[in-house]
Amino acid sequence: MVWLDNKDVVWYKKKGVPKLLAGAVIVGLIVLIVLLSIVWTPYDPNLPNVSDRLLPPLSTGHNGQSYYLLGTDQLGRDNLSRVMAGGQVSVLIAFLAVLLSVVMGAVLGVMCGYFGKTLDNIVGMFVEIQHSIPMLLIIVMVLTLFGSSTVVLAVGLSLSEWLSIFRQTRAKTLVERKKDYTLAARVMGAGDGWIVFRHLIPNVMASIIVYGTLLIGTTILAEAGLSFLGLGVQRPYATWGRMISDGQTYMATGWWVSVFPALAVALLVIGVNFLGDGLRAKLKME
Amino acid sequence: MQEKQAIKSSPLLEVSHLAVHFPVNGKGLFKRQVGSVRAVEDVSFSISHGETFGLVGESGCGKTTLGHAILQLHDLVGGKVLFDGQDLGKLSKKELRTARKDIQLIFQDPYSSLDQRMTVEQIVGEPFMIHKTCGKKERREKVLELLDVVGMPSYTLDRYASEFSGGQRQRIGIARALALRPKFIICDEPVSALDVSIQSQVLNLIMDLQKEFNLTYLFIAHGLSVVKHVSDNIGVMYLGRLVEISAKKQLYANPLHPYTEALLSAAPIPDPTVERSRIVLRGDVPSPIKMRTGCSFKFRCKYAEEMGDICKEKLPELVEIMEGHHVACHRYDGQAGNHLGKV
Repeated sequence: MVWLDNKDVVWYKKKGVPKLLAGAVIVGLIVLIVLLSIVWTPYDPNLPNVSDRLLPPLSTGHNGQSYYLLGTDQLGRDNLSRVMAGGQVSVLIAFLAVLLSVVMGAVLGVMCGYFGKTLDNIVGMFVEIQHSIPMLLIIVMVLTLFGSSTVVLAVGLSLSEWLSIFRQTRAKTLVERKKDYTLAARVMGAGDGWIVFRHLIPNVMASIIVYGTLLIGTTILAEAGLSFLGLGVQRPYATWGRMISDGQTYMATGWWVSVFPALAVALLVIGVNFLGDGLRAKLKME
Repeated sequence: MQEKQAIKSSPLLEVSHLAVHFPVNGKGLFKRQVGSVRAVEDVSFSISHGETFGLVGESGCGKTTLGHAILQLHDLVGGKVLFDGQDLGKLSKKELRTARKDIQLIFQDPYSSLDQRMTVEQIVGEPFMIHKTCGKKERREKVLELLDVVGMPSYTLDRYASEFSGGQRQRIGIARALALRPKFIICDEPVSALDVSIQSQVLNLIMDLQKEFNLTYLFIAHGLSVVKHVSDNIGVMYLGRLVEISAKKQLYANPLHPYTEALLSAAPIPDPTVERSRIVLRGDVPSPIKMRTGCSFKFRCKYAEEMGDICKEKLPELVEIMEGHHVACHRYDGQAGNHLGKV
């Protein structure tokens, strides 16, 4: 009999590692900087300083002491501090929303896929109904009902995103449930709990983790979009989305106001997507 | 006292008038049930200790469903399954779990039957984990023992199932089935997904294990050639019904049912010089959804015309024509009033 070389095994386990590493470094760095901003930013991100309005990057303030690495915005607030602090809202909302939608979507998805019948029909009906309502409408509705705080925004976004997780989990569970190994477990004397937790969830989870990671990118963009539309967390707190939208007016005189937060969003989304792709390659054992 | 003896001399598995139907739902809003697929209909047979009962029939005739129905994996419409004197249909969920320890399955597809996220140790050790019979160290030893029995080297223990070929995966599946020391194993086309060169290895393993562990088999296959190698008795299934049951030799020497004849003539003979007269069946298998009167084989049977109306009107029953040779055909049950019926 011919057995696989150890070399082969190591090779496929290594697949996807460069991407995974790059993604982890980018995301880790951004998260670290954002975490740092909670305790320290170069200047107060929300304190206006009219004498230092719209200074370009790498310039010194009027008092000759302040140094603005990424310039200042239309109210003379330090751009670097605002980009750092703006990440708090964006990152927190993105992670919270994805966590919520993964938990909601995965639990319901596995249950509907495995038990089927009545539960599946009822949940399926709600999913269809919700799917026919535009996502933006749902979020606007939630925001007007409960006011726009970080938590409400996260819940609103997860409400619109859990559907895709649910569908994917359910579809994957249906596939796995039909496979003979679940039957084998049942014949061996396993109950529903054993089959769900020992077989279905481990088999379904890999793709959910990958999809969830990729969803973080989408959520960051969605949050930025909402802030851009003025539906995000209220002023004067900085969020990347609103910094981009506010800076738009000053594009000709101060491009840096919106370009740097936009870069931050792009970098984080790229990092998260790398992470997701890398995970997919690594978790795929077939 | 008498009862005890009766149990001892009775067969290990006794299936009587087993029927499994699957609902067919309409397309309307409420998906009302519009009919049912009669996957298994009025099937009776018995298997005694240490015997291998071969079950053959074409794809979709209900062989696998029958196997699963024995394990109570489907809701039975009728009939009962007596295993070791115990009516499996009457057991509670918990009792059934314990009873199933004695009956295990070997699957057709060695790929989907092993969880790809588990190592060989986890797969083969899973039955012990489910029943919490032993600690981790003991479990490892038992798994090693089982792997040795099926001819897998011990260093495969920590590998994932996806690292093995079909034949090796089937061996792992067999080791898992043996773990709980069952009395009875349902082999559901265990070699039909394997390369021809591997088939005989696995078949020989299955037969060796029978001697070693004193096992009783229900061996499901879609052609007679594989079954010929392993079985003592053979049952031929067509459209959910058993049409012929016989000892192996008897069946091959003297097939009675026209469907068995056709199946036999389709088995390849490894000699190119032999001229064969193939019986090619006309038409397709009729739909198992419609309720029909008469013999289920009447549309494709070459004798149907000469037999006249009886085949269209009356369902032939499985009758013992000779010692141990049952057949469900009007040509033999004496009701046709036809001289053809004499064997």
